[in-house]
Parts: sequence; structure tokens; C-alpha cells
Amino acid sequence: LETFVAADLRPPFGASYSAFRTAVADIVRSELAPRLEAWIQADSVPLKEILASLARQGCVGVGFAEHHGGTGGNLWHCVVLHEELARLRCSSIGTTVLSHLEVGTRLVADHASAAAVEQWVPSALQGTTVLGYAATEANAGSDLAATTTMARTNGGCWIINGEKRFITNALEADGLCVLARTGGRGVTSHSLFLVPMAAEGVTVTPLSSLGNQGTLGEVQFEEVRLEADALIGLEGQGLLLQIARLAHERAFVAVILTAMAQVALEAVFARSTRRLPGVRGCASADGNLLAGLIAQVEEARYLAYSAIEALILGRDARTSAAMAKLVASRTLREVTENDLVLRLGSDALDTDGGMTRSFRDALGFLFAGGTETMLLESIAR
Amino acid sequence: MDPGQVLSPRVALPQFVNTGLLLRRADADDDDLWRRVALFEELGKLGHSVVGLAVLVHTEFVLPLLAQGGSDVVRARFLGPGTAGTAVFSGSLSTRGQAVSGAVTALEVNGGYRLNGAVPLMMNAHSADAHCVVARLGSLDAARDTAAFLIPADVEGVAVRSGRADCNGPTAIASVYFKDVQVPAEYRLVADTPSPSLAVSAPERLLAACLATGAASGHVDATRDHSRKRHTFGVALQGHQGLRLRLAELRTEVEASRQLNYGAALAVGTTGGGRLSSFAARLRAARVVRRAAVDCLTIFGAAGYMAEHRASRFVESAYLVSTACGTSEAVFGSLAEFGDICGR
Repeated sequence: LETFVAADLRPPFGASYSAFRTAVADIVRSELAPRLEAWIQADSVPLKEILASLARQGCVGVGFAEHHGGTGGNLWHCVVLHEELARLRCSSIGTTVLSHLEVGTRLVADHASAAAVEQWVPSALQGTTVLGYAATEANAGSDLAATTTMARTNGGCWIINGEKRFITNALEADGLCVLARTGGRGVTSHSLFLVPMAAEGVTVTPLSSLGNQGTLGEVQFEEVRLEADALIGLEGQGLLLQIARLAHERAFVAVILTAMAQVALEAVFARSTRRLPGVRGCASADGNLLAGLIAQVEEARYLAYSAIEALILGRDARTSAAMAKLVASRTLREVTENDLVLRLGSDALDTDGGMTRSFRDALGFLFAGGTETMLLESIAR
Repeated sequence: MDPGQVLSPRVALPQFVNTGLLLRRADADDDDLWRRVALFEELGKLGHSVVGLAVLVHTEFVLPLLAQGGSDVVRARFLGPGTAGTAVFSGSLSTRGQAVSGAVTALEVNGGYRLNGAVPLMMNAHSADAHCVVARLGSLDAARDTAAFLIPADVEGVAVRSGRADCNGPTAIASVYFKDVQVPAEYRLVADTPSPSLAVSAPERLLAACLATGAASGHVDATRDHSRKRHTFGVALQGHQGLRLRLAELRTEVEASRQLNYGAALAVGTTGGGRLSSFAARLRAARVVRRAAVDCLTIFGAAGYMAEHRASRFVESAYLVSTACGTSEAVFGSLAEFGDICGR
């Protein structure tokens, strides 16, 4: 069992991916890990610092076209990036990078006006500007059609009013893709806008959460005036873009969660071998438990990979991504909870070690990328 | 009751004693256990574990050890005020784990003992007049060679430091450090059993189970109220079958746990035994309260994940309650040691 866990369980991606993995791992180990504790103590995720470190080695623009300022590669490179970031055992970093690259930047690169792409995407891929996505409201989480943030036209401009909550990157972002109601009924009643955070009328308030600290905020828009080309996609396409985007986000959330579970599992095993054998008669039960968790992590990993593969091949990934996110979030919770409850007990509660943080962070994925109920609904359809 | 107003056990304990909710040991009768079962269930429903855990550690862990194994000197100083609730005792929430890990050692020196080490997660640490600590006496056989001590808080070398606990804040839980603490031999609590952490384990763990079940019960009820008020997709949350059934399952689990607690209380109260059923109740209640914490958090949604929200606080509380009086690991171990489970 020890050999099995100690071995590198990640699948062989081939030479080019291995080289990229090594490059990211070096940055994580030498530049990010030493600063992690200070960030945690400050409840802060300095995303631009993190992106700058990654960008110096060309790790930020992977998976984006070169004419956008990307460094080429494909979504598997993005998978490698997130798997290695997960080794920091702090999901705040993975989720903020994900929200910036795979949600905000990708939405702008794929659907915004040419002028907006030119203005935002190259700098986003250099890590000098941060993007994010703002859809959730206090009374519109799963039910985004209940969004009350409004956008109206006025003299060729858009005027936005409303409030978004639980927004990842709100505190660091230079621009947010904001979902707002633009009129009409049904799926064509909402549109997406790229809102510069420096615009007059935008106010950000940090939110304190159980886990994933330093990432969430509340954003208020009061008579925020935007140029006409701030629209992302066509008017009335907001909810449709959101639906299409969800599969992509969920697949990557599944990758992050599975990688976190892998790292947590390695920690469980390392700790279980160090701990004094104070309780008799449990050795075989511990072995069975760990073996079961290893199998679960492997299962979650390949489910996540299948969703990524569907995205790469241009297939409908909605169901596979929903399944991947559901299984990955349950797996991470199970691994971290088992460690917390069975292995560490009160030590973990008191010292706020990495595993406790992992468990708190894991609970955040009960909602991020879709609640379990919504995932099940999606799978059932 | 607002838990914010009774965070200090110094306030809560005398109130419970004076109103008859907690009886002085000398006055205890057959109804006392049932009275305490009800008390801890209700304390659990506060949705904040601090009051229940404070009372549990003081009355169910330390007081019995003191009454049973305290020397005349220690009993004379602490037993009366302790039963009246005017003196407060601290104790580790995971005594057995603490003993096993050998966090504190006690060496015989000059006819007394010298203690060194630190104990995390000491409940009531800041308020305590005396700290109850299980120390290793030197041998590596932790299960047998440990002893409990009641160390007055004013002895030189004792220090209380707030660490970052996951819940309840620094006023309730802290680490207690012992640096060359020299105490007379009379401060050792001599229990009848070789392992002091098991000496009072049945009622203590039963009542920890009641606290956890009460907490789960109160939280599930609050979540059900929320599911009636909150609307998505044009209907109340309760109108969504998946959530409704999840709440129904939770309520069933809470009720099953409650009945197991009552069965264990019957066994403890009538036979004085009931160790197996009380340990099982404790294990079951810990699982139920943890499941309630996570499932209800799902129903409260992202709003529940915010630091000050009831659902978020309950997650932290639930994991602390489920660790109290032995982690599930320790309870598993204890259950395995019974061996003849069918024969009871």
C-alpha cells in the first residue's frame, strides 16, 4: 500500500506535458510554496504575484491561441497547471487562477469584441491584469434566471445597476464578466458585460468565508456606464453563454478537486505511518480505508479527464462535467474528512493544519460550479 | 438562551446548579442521568457547542474523576466548589488521544510529580481554577501507564495560551502548557481502572452523544425552516424533491440517534453498565452531527458558507462536538476492545 501511494499515480501525459509539469512544479515549489503561509495568515490571495511567477516561465498562456498572446498548447496543459497548483494544498489559489484563466479570460477571448479582446486578453495572459466572472446574487445562485442586476441602454451606452455576491476574484480583478438582465423573457432575457472594476459606480466589499479565504467578495454596481462594445457575445445571449461555460468550468473544478484529494491522500498516508499505534485492532481497517480512498481518487481523476477530453474533442461535455464535478467534490470531502476524523482528531482542529483547511475548502465546492442538487438535475436530464 | 451571553462556564455552571438542572453529586438520584440527558440535548440545540462542551468537561469528565480518585487534600479544596459550579475545571476534549500521544509526562520527583508538556484543545482553559490533565508516567505503554492529575491553575509553570481553534474562539478553548510544574503526590487522581480515560467513559460518552444529537436536531430543524422560506425556481426549497428527501433522511437519522442515546441511558441508569451502547451512541451521534453539518450547509447554499452564518459556524461546532470525549478513532478502538459484542 505504501509503495502504491508513494508512486506517482498521475497518468503519463508524454514528454511535452512532463516538461511543462516540471516547469510548473518548480515554480510552485521554489516561488509560491515559501510565501503560502504568509498569504494564509493574511487571508489574502495576491493573484497578480502568483500569475507573475507563473508567467515568467510561460505557464499562464497555455491553452490559449498565440494570436491572443497565448503560448500555445491545449487544455491538457491547463490540466497540468492546475494539478501542480493543487500541490500547494490551498484551493484559494487554484480557484482564483481558474476563475481568471478558464472563466473570465476565456469568455472574453472567445466572445468579446475585437477591441475588448485586444485590450484585455494579452495582459490577462501575461498576468498583469486579472479577470473574473460575476453571476451569483443573494437570491440568484442556482437559479440565475432570478438575476436582478439590470442593464439598460442610454445614448449608445449601457448602464448597470445591481449587486453580485460570492464572487471569486472580486478583490483582485481589473475586469469582471457580469451577467445582467437586459429585458425580455426566458433564456434571452440576460446578457453578459465586461465591466472594468475601475469604472465609476463599482464598489467591492470583501466577504469572510469558512474556507477558500481571501477570494470572495460582493460587488455593487450603481449607475455604472459602459461603452456599447462592453457587451460579451450578443444581447440576450448571457444565459446561453453561461450554460456553455458551465461544462468547461465544472470539468476544471473536477480536475482541481481530484488533484487536491490526491495530495490530501498522500498526507493521510504520511501521517498515518508517523502516528503512534495507540489504538489496537484498527490496522487492517485503516489499510482498507486508505485503499478505498485511493480507488475513489483514481475514479474521480479519470472521470475528470473524460470531461476534459470531451471538451477537447468538441463533444457535449455537460453531463460528463457534471458527473466529474459531483464525484470529485464528494471524493475530496471524503478524503479530508476521513483524515480529520479518523487520523488527526483534535490535533487537526487545534492546529489548523493543512488538512483542516483542505476540509473547509472542500466544503466550498458544495456550491462552486453548481450545487450537488443542480449537478444531479443536470445528469438526470 | 443566547450562547454569546453565557460563554463563560463561570456564569453557566452556577445557573444550572442553582436551577436544579445539574444536581450536586451527593443529591443525585435515579432521575439525575435523565435530567442530564435532557440538559445536554437542549444545550446542543443552541447551535454553538461551547456551552455544552464546557459543562460536559466540567461535570462529566473532571468532577467524577475528582470525586472518585481525588485525595482528601484535593477534594477538600475543589470538590465542593466544583459541584456548586463556583470553581471551574478544564479538561482535554480528547483525553485518550492526549494520553496516547504522550503530550504530557509526569516524573516522580521528591515524593511528588514534575509535569512537562502541553495539551491542546483544553476546554474551559481560560476560566479554570484547576486543569485536569492525563500524563504519561514514563513507560511507553500509554494505555496502562498513565495517570490523571488535577493541577491548580495558580501553580508556577502553568500557562494558558490561545491557539487558533476551529471554533468557539479563544475564550473557550486553549492550549495549556506545563513547564517543570511541581505538585505534591496528592494531586494525582487515583482511578479504579488502569486507564483513567476509561474510568468514567460510559456516562461521559453518552452525554457527549446527547449533546451531538441535540445539536444535529436543532440544526436540522433550523434548516427545515430555511427550506420553507427560501425560494428558487419559483418554489420553496422544500418543494424540490431532492432537498426534501435529504432533510427527511436527516431527520430520520437524528431520531435513530436519539433513540440509541435513550437506550444507552436506560442501560447506564438501570445496570450501571451500558458501556457498549453508550460508546455506540457516541459514535453514531458523531456521524449524525457531522452529516447534518455538511448536508445542511448544502441547503443553506453559498450564504451558509460565509464565516458568520449559522451553517458555517455549525460545521466547526459539529466537528468539535464529534471529537469531544474521544475521536471516532478512539471510540472505534474502545468498541473493538469489548470483543464479545453479542454477549454484551
